[in-house]
Amino acid sequence: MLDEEEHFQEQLSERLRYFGEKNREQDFWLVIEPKFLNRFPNITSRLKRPAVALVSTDAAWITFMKLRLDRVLTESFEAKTLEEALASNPVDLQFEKPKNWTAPYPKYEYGWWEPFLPPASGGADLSLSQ
Amino acid sequence: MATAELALVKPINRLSRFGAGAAPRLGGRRPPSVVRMAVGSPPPAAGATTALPKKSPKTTEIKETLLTPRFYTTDFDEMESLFNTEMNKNLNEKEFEALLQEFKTDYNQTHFVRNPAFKEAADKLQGPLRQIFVEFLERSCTAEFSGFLLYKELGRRLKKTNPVVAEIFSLMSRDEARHAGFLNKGLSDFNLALDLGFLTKARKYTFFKPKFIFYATYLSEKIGYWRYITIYRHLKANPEFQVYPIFKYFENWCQDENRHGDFFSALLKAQPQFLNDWKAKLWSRFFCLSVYVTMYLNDCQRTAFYEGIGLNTKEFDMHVIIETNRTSARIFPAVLDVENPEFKRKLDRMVEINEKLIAVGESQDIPLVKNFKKIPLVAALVSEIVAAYLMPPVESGSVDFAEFEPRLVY
Repeated sequence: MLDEEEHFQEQLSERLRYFGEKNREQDFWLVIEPKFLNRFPNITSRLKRPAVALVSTDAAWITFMKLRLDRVLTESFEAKTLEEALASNPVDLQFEKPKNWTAPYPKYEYGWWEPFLPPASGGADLSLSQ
Repeated sequence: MATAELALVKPINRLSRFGAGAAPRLGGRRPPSVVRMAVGSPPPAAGATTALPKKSPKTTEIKETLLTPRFYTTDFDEMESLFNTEMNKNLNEKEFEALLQEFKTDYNQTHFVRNPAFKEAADKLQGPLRQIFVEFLERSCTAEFSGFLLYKELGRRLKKTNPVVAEIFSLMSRDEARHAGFLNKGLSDFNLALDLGFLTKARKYTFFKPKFIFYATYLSEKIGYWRYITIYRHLKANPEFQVYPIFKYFENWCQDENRHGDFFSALLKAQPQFLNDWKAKLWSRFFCLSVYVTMYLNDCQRTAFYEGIGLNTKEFDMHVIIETNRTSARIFPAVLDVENPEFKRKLDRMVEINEKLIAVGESQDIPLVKNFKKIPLVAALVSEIVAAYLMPPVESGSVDFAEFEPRLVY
């Protein structure tokens, strides 16, 4: 998802910009190899690793994102704190250029997702993971 | 406007292109439904501030081709029954509620604000490129406007049966009106304006069944997104070709198109009969082919525009086709194998044949001779199109009801 779905970056940036304009507190994050995946064996059995989850407290937005991305699985869970919800396991990410790059522009750089990674505190209860 | 064919700058304009790809300029089959653009691109007369088509007939030519943006209408009663929640139990209300929230958010409410750079850039555009830009603005504006009209009517008609779907249509017509207005202001930089009220009344409307509206609008929104984002990112990487500031707005702009496409994706999912049988597979492939071929043929006649902004037309189109096809594979039960090099070879042969057809059309022969000369060319074109249609397809579909296990990592 981080590798090929470039419109995903545009959507997240658009939403972050919008939240900034409206002074709304951010309620969505990207979590790479989230710890909460262990709770969902039915998801992990279908998932290629490393995986990344889009986590938000806005259930309707997750429904929309699931419609957009399609090739993802959704689940929801309750967490006491944001740290707990967004905790992740360390992993080495490979950011590969697709073999068949047809675009007349360069691919996004490694690390484009960093602005969307979790901060250090809060409370989430929904996830979409891949 | 001296050109015989249109500049398809947003070639897959809303709701158009049905079957156009399958039958571009086929001999005697002149669909009465095709309306020419009511707008030419007259060179701005000195001192003229606007040149409205209605009022300046001398400066306006009406061109008619199969590839011009069209205005569409549909069976509104059938639409109403499709979206009646009591009659259709497949309507995923959660998905539509989520879409409504997303459209209400209105990310681009303050995006379409112009600045003095527009006029300055337009003044610098002279010669052939100026004409090409005017055509681009006109066609794009007409395309957005035709979307506005259809969505607005659907919003109005569905209000009672399905208020959520109706409101989404209304919000999409808001986006389209905004886009059309922004493009029309762009025309004012060239001392022109489209008379949209006149267009509404003067143009004929082509009728299509709801099912075809779903497939075709889905594709035109998604291909519109890929065209705009590709131009945007190309120009960001190569700013020396940034000749007119409108392209700088494309990144945010095309997110609207992408969302509109998602809505049609949800509409299709709500009507599984359009997605789950062999007929749906054939229609999906048919619409993909129509849209891709139409765009390719159109753009190849308009290479000056793409080259003018530093793009290689065929490479640009193939990229857009491949990405649109990958996107469509998330909803259509079958798509074309466009990444097979044979597909592009077929498109290139169609371009050659189409060029010969245009040359015959522009020759000095009497109509009978022209038609006679066209027969073998039309046959050749049809055979290429049929061959492309019959290439082994790629099975696809949404992970929500695909029969296979799609790769969960793209």
